[in-house]
Amino acid sequence: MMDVFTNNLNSPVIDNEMKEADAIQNVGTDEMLFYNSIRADLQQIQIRPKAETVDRILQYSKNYAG
Amino acid sequence: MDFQLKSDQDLIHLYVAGNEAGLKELIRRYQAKIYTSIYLLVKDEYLAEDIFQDTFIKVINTLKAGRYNEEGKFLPWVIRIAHNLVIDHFRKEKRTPVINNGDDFDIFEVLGRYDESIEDRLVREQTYKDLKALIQLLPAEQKEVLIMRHYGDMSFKEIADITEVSINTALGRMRYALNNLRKMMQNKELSLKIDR
Repeated sequence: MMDVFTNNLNSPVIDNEMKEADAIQNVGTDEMLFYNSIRADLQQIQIRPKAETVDRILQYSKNYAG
Repeated sequence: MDFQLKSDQDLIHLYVAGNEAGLKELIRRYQAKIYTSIYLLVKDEYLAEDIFQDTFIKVINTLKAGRYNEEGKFLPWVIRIAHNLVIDHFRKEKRTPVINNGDDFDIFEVLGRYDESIEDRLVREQTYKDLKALIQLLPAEQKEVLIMRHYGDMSFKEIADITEVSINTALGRMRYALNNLRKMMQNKELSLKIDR
């Protein structure tokens, strides 16, 4: 009797990638069209933290002693 | 050495090796996305500054201690830390960010209760296309997914893991968020056309 081997196609990585691809497809054409139309606006409404906050973070890093 | 051309992973390696410029470039690269994500959730710029700072303190502590998982992407990792800090804040304050009646929440139920004041504000500022204001009106779960997907560059699987729901639920919330935003924008445009 010959044994027939098949590759296991249900590995966790492939399964998760397929679920993600399905999810993106299922968002819906109309929703994706709308999302694409507001992407630029979503980028435009971004705001930055104050420079002082960033300076404090960098200072903390420089002084980090573990 | 031009740090702006380096990948996130290279910047992390440089930083862990002792080059502070690596961290500075990572902050420069992603500060707007991270801060905006936090601000849209907490709606308070001072609180957002604090949480932004605390987020990066955790980032620094993890990187310097050699505990960073290189398999993941930097931005989603930082957004996850920020999100957890936001949740911790609301737990301490014992309040939820926005009224939520479930995933099939109808945005106009909320607008109906506060319609007059929101309408006056938007018309007065002539900002019916102010996306930031409209995002703030979304239910917390929908706003969360939209923010993580757009600013956090997260996959639906990552979003599902963080928010402890299924991928389908995360996806559904994204759809509702987009549909509600579209309805609000269309409604405001229609109101302005009628008023003219």
